[in-house]
Amino acid sequence: MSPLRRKTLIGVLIALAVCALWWVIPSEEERIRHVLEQAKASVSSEGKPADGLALLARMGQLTQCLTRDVEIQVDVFGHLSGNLSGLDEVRAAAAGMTQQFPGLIRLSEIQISELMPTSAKATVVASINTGSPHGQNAQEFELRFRKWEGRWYISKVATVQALRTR
Amino acid sequence: MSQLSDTPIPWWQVMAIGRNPRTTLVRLAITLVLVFVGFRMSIQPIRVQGISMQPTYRDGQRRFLNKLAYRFATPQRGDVIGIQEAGKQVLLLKRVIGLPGERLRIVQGTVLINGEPLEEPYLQPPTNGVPNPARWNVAEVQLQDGDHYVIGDNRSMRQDDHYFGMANQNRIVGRLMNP
Repeated sequence: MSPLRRKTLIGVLIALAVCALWWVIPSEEERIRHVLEQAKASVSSEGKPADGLALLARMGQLTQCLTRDVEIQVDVFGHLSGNLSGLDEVRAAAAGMTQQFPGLIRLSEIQISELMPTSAKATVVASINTGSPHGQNAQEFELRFRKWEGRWYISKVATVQALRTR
Repeated sequence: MSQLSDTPIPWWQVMAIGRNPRTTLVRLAITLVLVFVGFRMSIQPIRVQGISMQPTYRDGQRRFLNKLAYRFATPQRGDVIGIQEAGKQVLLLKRVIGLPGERLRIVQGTVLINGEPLEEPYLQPPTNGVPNPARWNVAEVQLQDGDHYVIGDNRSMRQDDHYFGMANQNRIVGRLMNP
């Protein structure tokens, strides 16, 4: 094999190895996106509420995405307003919500910013389709993440207000 | 072969696909891409939902936003603008009534800018007999840099049911093109 061919082959192999590493080892952004998808999957359902065991499994999955002191501040004009704090409170509310208002949740426009070694911020648009003709609602959320023992957790969720009164 | 290449191309073929079909195809593709990119960057089609801009804009109407309107200018009073509500696809359609640096309050339905009543010719009397504007009251707010006070044209509805307030410049998507 000529030296030129050998160098080309080595170059290609290195490029392939980098691609493989990138594929096998997800970036921090991808890890955060995975946590978001996992949290979404635990509260999203297609039309019918989850039964006892399935609900337990879903809440277990949700627990793996949240910090113990998680805070959720929801303020959707004309619909819903309130604060939840602590894992137990959030889990109970999520279980109630998935039972009473089952709907398919879709996340879009995920933007991760302020990515630090142990903290990050993300904005995401969540839309829920409850199946009724006017059941599609979209809301933008800002989420704060904390990293603990190599894993990302959601520590705060707040609705993003398009308009402020003060 | 040379005889064939010298054969004049029929006029209808020149009109339809040009002298060189391959060049025409490339030009057409480039034009389509440029038009598509230009359209996506400058115009956003919207569909009005809800009653907060009635009777000026009705539920279900289709309009276009000029996304370049505020690239080199700032929103002016009276402009109807699109504001990001949830991401880039769900927008609020509102009218600008207050500009950065101004003091604004609403007393019995009258908008006061720095203490002076604002003339609002775009408010049309509704057909249900409720005055427009109704007797809404909003405590004085001081608009900061980049803040624009926006509100809908339908002020005959209940104040609590109407979503209005200060919008930051960075959430303003564009101005309505065909008011």
